[in-house]
Amino acid sequence: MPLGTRFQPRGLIARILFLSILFATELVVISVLLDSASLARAEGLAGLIGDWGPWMLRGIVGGSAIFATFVWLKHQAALERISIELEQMPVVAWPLLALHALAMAAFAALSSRLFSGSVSGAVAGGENLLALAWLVAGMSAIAFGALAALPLRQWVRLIASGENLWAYALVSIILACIAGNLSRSLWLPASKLTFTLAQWILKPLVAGLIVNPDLPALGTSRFRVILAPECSGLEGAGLILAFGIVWLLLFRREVRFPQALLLIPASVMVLFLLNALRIAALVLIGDAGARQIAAGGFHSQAGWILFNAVAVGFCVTVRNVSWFTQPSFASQPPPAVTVAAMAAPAEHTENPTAVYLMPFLGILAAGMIATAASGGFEWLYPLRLFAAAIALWVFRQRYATLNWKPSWFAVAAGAAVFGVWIALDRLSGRGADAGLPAALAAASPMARTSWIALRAAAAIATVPLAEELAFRGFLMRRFISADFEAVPFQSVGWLAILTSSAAFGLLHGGQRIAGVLAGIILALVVKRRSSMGDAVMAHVVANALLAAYVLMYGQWHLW
Amino acid sequence: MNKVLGLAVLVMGMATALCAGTTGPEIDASTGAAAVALLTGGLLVLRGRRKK
Repeated sequence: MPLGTRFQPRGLIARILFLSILFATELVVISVLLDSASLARAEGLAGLIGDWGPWMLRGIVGGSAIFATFVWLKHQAALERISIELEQMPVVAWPLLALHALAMAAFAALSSRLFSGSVSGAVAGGENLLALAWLVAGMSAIAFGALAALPLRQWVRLIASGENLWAYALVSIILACIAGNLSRSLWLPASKLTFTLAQWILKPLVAGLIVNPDLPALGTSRFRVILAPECSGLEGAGLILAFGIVWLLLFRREVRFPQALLLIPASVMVLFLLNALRIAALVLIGDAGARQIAAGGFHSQAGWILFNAVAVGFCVTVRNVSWFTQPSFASQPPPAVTVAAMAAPAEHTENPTAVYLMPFLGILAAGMIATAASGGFEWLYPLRLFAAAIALWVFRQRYATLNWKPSWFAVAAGAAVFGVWIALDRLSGRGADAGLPAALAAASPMARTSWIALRAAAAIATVPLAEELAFRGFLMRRFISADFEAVPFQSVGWLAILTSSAAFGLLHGGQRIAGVLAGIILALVVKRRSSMGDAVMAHVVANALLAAYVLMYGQWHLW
Repeated sequence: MNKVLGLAVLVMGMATALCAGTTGPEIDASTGAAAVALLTGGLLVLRGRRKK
């Protein structure tokens, strides 16, 4: 069922939202107050909680997220039936919510004793009894909270609606948690192997390589890297392993087995080797004098850049190499990989997804590269402007067919978005100590003015176009139909608006809530007259006012 | 698209779970939103070609 046209948000969605907010708030408080490390030396049940408690918590959250995501993706008709039933019932059962609060109070009281270590070991089994009571209180709180939002009958129907999905989610998350916890024991040997590989890469490149296997540290007299166990390469290897398995499972009809299975160990090995290359590059960048870039942007971005490269390489190989692809799929024209090829598609094919997404993907890719090459301040931000401008230019003929006529209403909506953005920023109090970034202040007037001009040009010109094409033009309508270009904006429903706005907000870093609200306003603007021009105009006005606000009042944290 | 979006949720969730509590991880979950969005968008474009 397409999102947004029939699905009533008041029934199931309101309850799941309520439950998510309730549990997320409690989870944040628990995470801040409790430190499972204080139980590390305990024995029996208390020791088990110390060892496995955080993983159990991640398992519950992750399993629920996987189940909810795939039920939503695969069984929306069943969810709609449950949602309609729930419309007649109150959103919250207050007596059960009161029981939840009581159980949480007991849980908090027991937690303060269990995690303070004040229970005497001399009391036979005292600590284990306390741990058992703590577990019962915690489980009761979860159960009462869940039943307060959704009656037992609807829970049973919800779980049954996913058929065997609950079992798959349970098994996959248990395996992931066990593997995650056990993999920590592999960190040390894996980091030793990475250390050796990085050393081999650097030896022919660096004259005075300093190697200290005891720390273990690798570097030169000017810059040294200590290889922490977390940098072993296992995180990336685990991530690409899961990605490869799930991709082959999802697209199994397109793939030739068993040869496609070879791609999984191959991609794991490639990413592991690339991680050693990342460590070597870290040393080379630092040794070249760019210590801040090595320890800052490059360190935080290189892992993702390499993972994305291997993941895309995996998918391109599966689709394009005939030895891995089923003959019926191999006979189709190969997907275009370059921007130029997408703009000039093969004779009988087209790629409307590329038309709407490429400018935004250009901004994201350029942003990752610019951040990786930055040592705190993103000097290469203009790369984002050029990347989006190139993609917009390549597809300019396709954009000419859209309705670009703006209205004065869009100008007012843009001012409203700006107002929401500033109001939420003021409420957060983040702007109190904001000022011109030190790197920009220290730069020459020419460099500073050029950077500010290009930053403002991106905010006012390319970003509104790219984001409106991606979020309102593509994503919001793609939730409704695969042939998204045929979906009139005016037929888009609330769920598609909320979901695309949530994705829009998620990508707005420190201003996520403002991003969600802005997304909703911009979606309503485009829906009103089915005009992309309206959405872009509103976005341009909001970003232009924001740029003026940043420059006039020195609120640089908003950029 | 559903399959690709589901996969994106899985990647982001796993990155968060794998890297929770680690300092200086090779896959930094705090900067993952843009990276996963780029990957998801790239895969959608890759699979987006269709007959006219």
